[in-house]
Amino acid sequence: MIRIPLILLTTLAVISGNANAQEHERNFAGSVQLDYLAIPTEEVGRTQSLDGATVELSLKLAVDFDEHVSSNVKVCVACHGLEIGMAFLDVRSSDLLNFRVGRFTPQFGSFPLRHDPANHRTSDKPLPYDMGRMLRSNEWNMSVLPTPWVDNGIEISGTKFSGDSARFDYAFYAIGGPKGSIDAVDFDFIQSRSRDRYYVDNNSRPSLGAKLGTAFDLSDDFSVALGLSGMAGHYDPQNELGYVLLGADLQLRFKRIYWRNEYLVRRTEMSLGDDPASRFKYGPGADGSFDRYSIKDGFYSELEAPVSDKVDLIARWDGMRRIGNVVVTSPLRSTSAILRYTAALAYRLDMGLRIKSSVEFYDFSDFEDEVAMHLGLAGPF
Amino acid sequence: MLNEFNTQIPKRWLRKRLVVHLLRRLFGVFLTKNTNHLSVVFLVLGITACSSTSSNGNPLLQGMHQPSDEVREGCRIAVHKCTRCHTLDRILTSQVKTPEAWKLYVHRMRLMPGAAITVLDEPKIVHCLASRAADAMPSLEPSGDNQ
Repeated sequence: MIRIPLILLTTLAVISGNANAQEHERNFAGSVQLDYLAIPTEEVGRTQSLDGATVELSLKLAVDFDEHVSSNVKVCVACHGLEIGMAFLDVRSSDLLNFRVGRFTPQFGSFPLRHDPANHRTSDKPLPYDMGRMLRSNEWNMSVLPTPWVDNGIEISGTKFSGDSARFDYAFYAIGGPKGSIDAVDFDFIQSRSRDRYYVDNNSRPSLGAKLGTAFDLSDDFSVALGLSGMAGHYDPQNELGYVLLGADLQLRFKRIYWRNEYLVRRTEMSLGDDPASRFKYGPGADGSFDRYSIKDGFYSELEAPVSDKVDLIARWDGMRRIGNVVVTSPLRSTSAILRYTAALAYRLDMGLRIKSSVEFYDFSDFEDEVAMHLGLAGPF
Repeated sequence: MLNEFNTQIPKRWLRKRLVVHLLRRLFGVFLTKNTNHLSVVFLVLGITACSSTSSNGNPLLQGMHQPSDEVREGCRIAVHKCTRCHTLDRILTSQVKTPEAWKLYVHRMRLMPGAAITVLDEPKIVHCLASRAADAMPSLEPSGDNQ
């Protein structure tokens, strides 16, 4: 199974290489990030997160067959080993109608567009999109929507331009959706990234989602982009445990200064099991029944300002909260929260390489507060 | 097993004076822990950043020979619009070489969700990027060595 991404990438490269180069424009690109995470408030950081040095690598081949048809294949090497991050075909009949089929990241929110380490200035992702680098990741079962969320399916999208300063985007999609076990209380992200299940929708029912967005320029120097996203479906094999995920994003640009904001909330149905009294930490409510739902929401607000051609400063405030019953073994409570404060500096070297550094302060409601430091090197090629 | 949801502590947590707490905690770590080597690195980086010179120029124009006003305008738009989704390094390190390839590439980017590129922006950005690529190409004029 581990050879499949390489075989796909190689096959596409060979096919496109054999084709008429004037008809098929190929672009090979990639990115790499080596990041060192230190947790000075802990003697052994590994109990908190994936500390120490980690590398993220992506290799992407884009083929433009013509103005209407293109294909992308991307393989990634990160915490999960070698994976297919993209393998899709785009068919554009017009600006208003684009079909995407294959394995891709469905449109949700704003950050997933910039998830590649070479496309954002901080070493890690905002908390609501974190995928395993946050402290206490295991206790929290990661974030609201770990990014990049890669799934199989079809997406229909389009853009309507209004004059020279405004545009409206839409997208609808059907994907396999998140996965979990029969008696799950939350998503099982290991199942979602398991190569054994790349081609399997565990409940034979797609999750459905949509995004509406708009972007407009108020002047040459000032622009605004905002969007609303939603996704819903079931995640267990019996197709009984549902979830609803909603998001809103707002991005303001003044010259090259960006202020990005997002909010995500997910309502997830839990399996109560045969004996919820012994399974959950908290008892039934006033009506004598156990609450079947948990809510996990999160936000980030990030200010990115270049202070020179080489230096960018980033200030980020993000947080996450979980409300709802928890299993007896969980260290979380019925309401738990994290707030994180990040100050970051990115220094551009030659050839597009960038030194990324940041200091983060974690304020946990259920654990000791922590400080984390990142120092890394990232860049596209 | 508790009989009701415990929401008291998170409420207290929300009332904490977070900024004051943050400063005290950060300085406390730096002063008391023996693992503050990375903070020295950050300090050095900060000093380096502050002392770095700023040309305030457009990175896409660097290395180009007397770009026209149209190219300058296209590159100005590219800097503002493309950085919404990715860094300029993506462009500066790109392997795209020909105007035809840039045309398809920017067209695909224009239709990316949330992209800021308008219909009128597209040819201007292509003009900038194709001009950059042309400037980077070696001269095709015969050297005369074959004579």
